[in-house]
Amino acid sequence: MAGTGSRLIDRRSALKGGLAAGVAMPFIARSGFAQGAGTVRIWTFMSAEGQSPREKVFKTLIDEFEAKNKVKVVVEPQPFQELETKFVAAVAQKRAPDLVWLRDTFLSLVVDRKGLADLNEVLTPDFKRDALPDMFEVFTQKSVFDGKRVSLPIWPSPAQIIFYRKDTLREIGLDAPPLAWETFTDAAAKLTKGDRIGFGLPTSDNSVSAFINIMSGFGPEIFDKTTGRLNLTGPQAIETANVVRALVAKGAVSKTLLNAMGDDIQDQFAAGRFAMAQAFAPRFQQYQKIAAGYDPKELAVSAWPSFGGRPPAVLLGPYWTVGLAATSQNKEAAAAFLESLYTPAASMRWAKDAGLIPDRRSVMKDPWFEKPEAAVTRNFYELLSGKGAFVFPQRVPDITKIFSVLNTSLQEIIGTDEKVEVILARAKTTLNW
Amino acid sequence: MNQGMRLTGRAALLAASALASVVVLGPIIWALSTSLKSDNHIFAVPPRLIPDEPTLMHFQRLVAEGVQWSFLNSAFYTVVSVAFAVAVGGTAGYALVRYPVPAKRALLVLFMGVMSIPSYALLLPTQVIFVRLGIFDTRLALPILYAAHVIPFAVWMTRAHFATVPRELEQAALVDGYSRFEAVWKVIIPGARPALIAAAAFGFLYAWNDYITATTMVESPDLRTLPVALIFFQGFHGRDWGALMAGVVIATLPPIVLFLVYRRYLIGGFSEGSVKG
Amino acid sequence: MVSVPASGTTPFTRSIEDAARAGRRVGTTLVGPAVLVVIAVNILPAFFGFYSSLRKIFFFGDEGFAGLDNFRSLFADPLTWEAIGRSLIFTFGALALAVPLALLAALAVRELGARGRILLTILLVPWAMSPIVVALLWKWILLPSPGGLFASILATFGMPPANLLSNPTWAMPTVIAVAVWRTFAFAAIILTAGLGQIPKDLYKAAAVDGLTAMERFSRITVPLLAPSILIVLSMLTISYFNEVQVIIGLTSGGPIHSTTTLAYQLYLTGFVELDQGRGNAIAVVMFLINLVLIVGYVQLLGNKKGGEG
Repeated sequence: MAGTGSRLIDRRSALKGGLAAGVAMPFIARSGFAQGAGTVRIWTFMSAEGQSPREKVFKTLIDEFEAKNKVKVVVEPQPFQELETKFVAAVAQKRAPDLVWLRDTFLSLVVDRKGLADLNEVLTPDFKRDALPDMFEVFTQKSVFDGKRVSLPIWPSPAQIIFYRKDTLREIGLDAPPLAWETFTDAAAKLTKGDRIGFGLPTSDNSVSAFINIMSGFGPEIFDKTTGRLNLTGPQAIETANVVRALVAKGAVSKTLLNAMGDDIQDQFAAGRFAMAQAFAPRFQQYQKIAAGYDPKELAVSAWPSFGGRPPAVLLGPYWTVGLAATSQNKEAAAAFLESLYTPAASMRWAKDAGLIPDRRSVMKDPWFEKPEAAVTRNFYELLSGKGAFVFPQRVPDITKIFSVLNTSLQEIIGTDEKVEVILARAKTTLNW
Repeated sequence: MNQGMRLTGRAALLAASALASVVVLGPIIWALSTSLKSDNHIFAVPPRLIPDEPTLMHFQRLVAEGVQWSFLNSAFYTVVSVAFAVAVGGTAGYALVRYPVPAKRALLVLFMGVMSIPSYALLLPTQVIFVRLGIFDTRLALPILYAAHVIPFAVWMTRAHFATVPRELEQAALVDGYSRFEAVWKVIIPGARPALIAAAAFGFLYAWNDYITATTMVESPDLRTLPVALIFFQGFHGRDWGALMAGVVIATLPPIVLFLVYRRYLIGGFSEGSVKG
Repeated sequence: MVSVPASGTTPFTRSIEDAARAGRRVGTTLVGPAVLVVIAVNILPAFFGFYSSLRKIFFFGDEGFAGLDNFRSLFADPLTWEAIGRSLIFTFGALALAVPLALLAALAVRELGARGRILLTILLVPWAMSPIVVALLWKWILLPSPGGLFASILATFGMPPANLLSNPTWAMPTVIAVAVWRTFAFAAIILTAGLGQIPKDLYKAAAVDGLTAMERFSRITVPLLAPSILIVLSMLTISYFNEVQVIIGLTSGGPIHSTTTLAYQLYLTGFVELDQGRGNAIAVVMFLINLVLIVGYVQLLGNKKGGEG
């Protein structure tokens, strides 16, 4: 991997920065240089003033923690796509926060730049004994690099999954989408009717690739064990491309949505333009909230269809993890706050008030999860526990490029008649794989 | 016959002007309309221009999430950078006309040349330099960058203006017993008002409307600008079109108001800067 | 605002050489601050960016000197040349739309007299808006579902919702149109001023000579407006060539690269893929192209002015 032995741009910056900051003090409202001992700074995409259910739970947990400990928790929200970038830059320039939300796919890059502390050294024995084994192993394992635990997964989620409208599937006599691609494409085709399109795929996000999600139907072996790469010219990639071509040929996927971000798919789903769509699982409640073209009660979730009788696929990721900055001057307090997000009571709150899947699996035994309003959470929980669930490898090379390159390929597969082998070979060349 | 043709010509002209106005203003009115609709009305089919049950919920949400502070930040950065840029740039513009400055041509080329550097291409190196100087993520970062962007423009514009003011006017003031300072204060600056206001307005629009510089040079939420704060409503849960359009309305009002108040100078200043430049 | 020599004596009361020397000193003092700020904030980072373009930097990790590797791989990549081509299409496409529109607007403003000022003011409103806000706004208007404004307008003409931003043929014209929507009126101001400079007597004389409106336009308006048109062309060329926010906001360079201009390629490489060495190399290439365009226009302007004496 690229990072070993690499020199970070700004090693001496903190010193010089500190000097200059002294001169410019009156103008500095607040910045990374003012880390008080009793303050924990957090970078996340949530805001402490935020109005979404998740942000409200977060605020409650912060308030409780502050009341119990003499520590101030300062939340500095950042745009969610920029968290990892800004964090790495900040670590290099010695102005990083104590805790940071990171996507799992970026962990190796941040680890290589020595951005994250080893949580094994700061987590309490109680937490290691009780909490860690109670979390989803597939996630906790991924955060361990060379014996160092560099982050804790938060809000386990199936990430990119299929949302569908039960009302539309009833029209063709089904309860749920078929879970094998051969039958799925036909069903999706039948769901296309009038203005409505059977299946919606995002094709232009920087961190989402529908191509990889479809390919995940071949199971974890799509990623090469040693290199972490996808075999883009192998039979599985070609079969994946052929499925997309079939979806287009049968009218299940529209050529008019060649350049759709997940947000676009969401907007159009709200307007009733899709029967099924690839969606970001944590947005389930949001999809219900903005539903205008259909009854929100009809919204449901499904795993991805698979190839060759394999178990239905759930590619877990990108998902959120929380890391402790290597540069943190306040590791104890930061770790204490981090632990407070994973108590059974906190897990219950994330689940009950914000509709998230509890980090602590034992919480699922709570009778509340039997209630109808918890049906979706149960559903997600089953997807996570299913046989076809797996994560991106720890190190996927060129993770910052792979999504945009494969989205271009997907656009070409959907929008042109070029041979899929040629399209995929070009992607391989672009990535230099 | 001729008279009739002129009348139809005039009618066609008015119709075309009206159509152009609709194309220009329509989108902005649509944003206003969306910002006043509740979530489940926003995607309603067919869309309605006048909201059924207008609501201020999106504006309230902006306030609940503290967007007004970002608004004030934007205002602060804008005012500071514009004042600085117009003062420094105007002075330079004046000196370039009135004094035998060494390497004048080279300086003019420099000012013209930097206007062509895509400022966002400089963001990566600028960030590193700012961190070293300790001004990254402070209240100084954006005013400095905005001012530096506006100064060449202010120079260019005021230079063009001063070139048209006869030197004799100032000399007359001096002969009348004014000190050089008084001459500047009482004769030159008032005379240069259109050019100064035009430069200031350009600076205002640039600083107020910037997004890319602000998102790379400032990280603390309490230093954030309005366009950056808005982008958060296109965030983790998808686009909140109601809040986004409320933000569009709020972000667009100040420049439009300013523009309407100063349009005479703006239009005059720009045309002067170009025609006589 | 202006620093004044302490003596209070003025240059023209002294001997000529003294005056020249004092003048140079004062002039340098007055121009100094502007030059310093511009050099510190623009030129220094530019050099630092050029230095970075010669290094292998990925995700803030500097992995050492790379010579011209970044440039070599950049020019070996067919996508770079396509991006340059699309930058030119975007730039000149936008010019081809904006300049005639601006000219029409300026003529209309002149014809309408007092009402013309109102028209110009209205047309200028989008220019006061933030590019990123404009992109958001148009994304919302072009929403290709039945609830979208554009889709509904199409529907009233019995047409199905068109997804312009997802169409490889239409995406580029659409982003061009949005960029022009925001900026064309700026050109109209300058052309309005240019028209104002043309003596009315010329038109009267031409009318007496029996020239038609078309002839008056081609023989008087166009030649006398040429300097203004050149200024408009030069300012808009630079602005369009570097336009990136509208593309980020509307198409993310797609579909199938159809709106990936060089400016967007820079954004993608440097800020999304975080290949910062290569990103800086693209910035250097862009700067050079900008320079060529500017020098070209300055030459043209110079010739024009010289030619007319």
